[in-house]
Amino acid sequence: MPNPTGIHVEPANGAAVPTGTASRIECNQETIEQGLAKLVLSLIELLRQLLERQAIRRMEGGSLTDEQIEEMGNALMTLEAKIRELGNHFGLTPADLNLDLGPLGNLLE
Amino acid sequence: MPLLAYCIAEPGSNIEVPLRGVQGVPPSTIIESGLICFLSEYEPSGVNSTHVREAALAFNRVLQELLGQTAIVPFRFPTLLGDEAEIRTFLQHHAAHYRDLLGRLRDVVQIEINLTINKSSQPSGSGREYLLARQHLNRTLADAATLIRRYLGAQIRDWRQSQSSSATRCYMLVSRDDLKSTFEKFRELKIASELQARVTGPWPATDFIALPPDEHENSLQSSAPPVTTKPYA
Repeated sequence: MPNPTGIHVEPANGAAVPTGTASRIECNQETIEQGLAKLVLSLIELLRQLLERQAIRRMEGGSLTDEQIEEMGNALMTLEAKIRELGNHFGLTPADLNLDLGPLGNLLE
Repeated sequence: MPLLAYCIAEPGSNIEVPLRGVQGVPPSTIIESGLICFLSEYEPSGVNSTHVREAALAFNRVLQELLGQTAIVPFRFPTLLGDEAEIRTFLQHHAAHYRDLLGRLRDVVQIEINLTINKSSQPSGSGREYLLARQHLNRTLADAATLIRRYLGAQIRDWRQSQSSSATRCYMLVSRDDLKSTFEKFRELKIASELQARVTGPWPATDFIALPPDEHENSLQSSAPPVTTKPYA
């Protein structure tokens, strides 16, 4: 349970699986749809996050007009909502889209 | 039967090998080129997702038991080998790299902090408001990571962090002697109200382990097999 400070301390005791043993895409006969959806949505989410960072950087740098900021923000917001909607349809949480790329780390970090 | 590799460590006469490993099989050891490797027989056929989870937890328990005694370089789960000769060849090839690495990690362990946003709200408002809210969250996460790093100060031997749009992961190396006091300090730490921090550890220092140069090149090839003989390093 989180404590009032917002810090949850959890010593490693075998109950948690450490980094590196995270889930993999399952593409067996029963889960092929979900596996493919996970892969496709993960890549779209990666692109969305890259675009978002770039948009914020450009907004901070003053190189976007008010109209462009509004348009970019709306597009990214709609995309995020759509990714959530599709994720829900396939039973995927945002954390599921952060694929473990082995020695390269996680996709969205 | 294939062999499941757990980890590599520096050999020492006082290392107690865990009695129970994955699938209930007691791990065995081989010593090669100044390194010790922990292995057990593994039956991969007929393993469903429940068994995989149990196996992953058992694997982790072995690593934790060993980490409590010495520095380790874990293999990814499940790393399967045809026979002992495979791991001997691997250790012979990379002995210098791993001996050096284990020497440097001898007295430290890794702690992880996952900083996340409290509420994952549905996006709403204008486009500008959306981007400004994102900007604010990014800054809040980055500031919290900086605060934690400063707060722990000299207790941190090394630090890495990575940020996504809704979370920041911080990895730190802490001396084994400072582990208890570091966890105590975390309990007293206060962060921004819109954030949650999950602190876990001690873990093997996997985020501070560099691949041997030739292994790194191989790992970047998309044709690399899903099961390899490579440790995290």
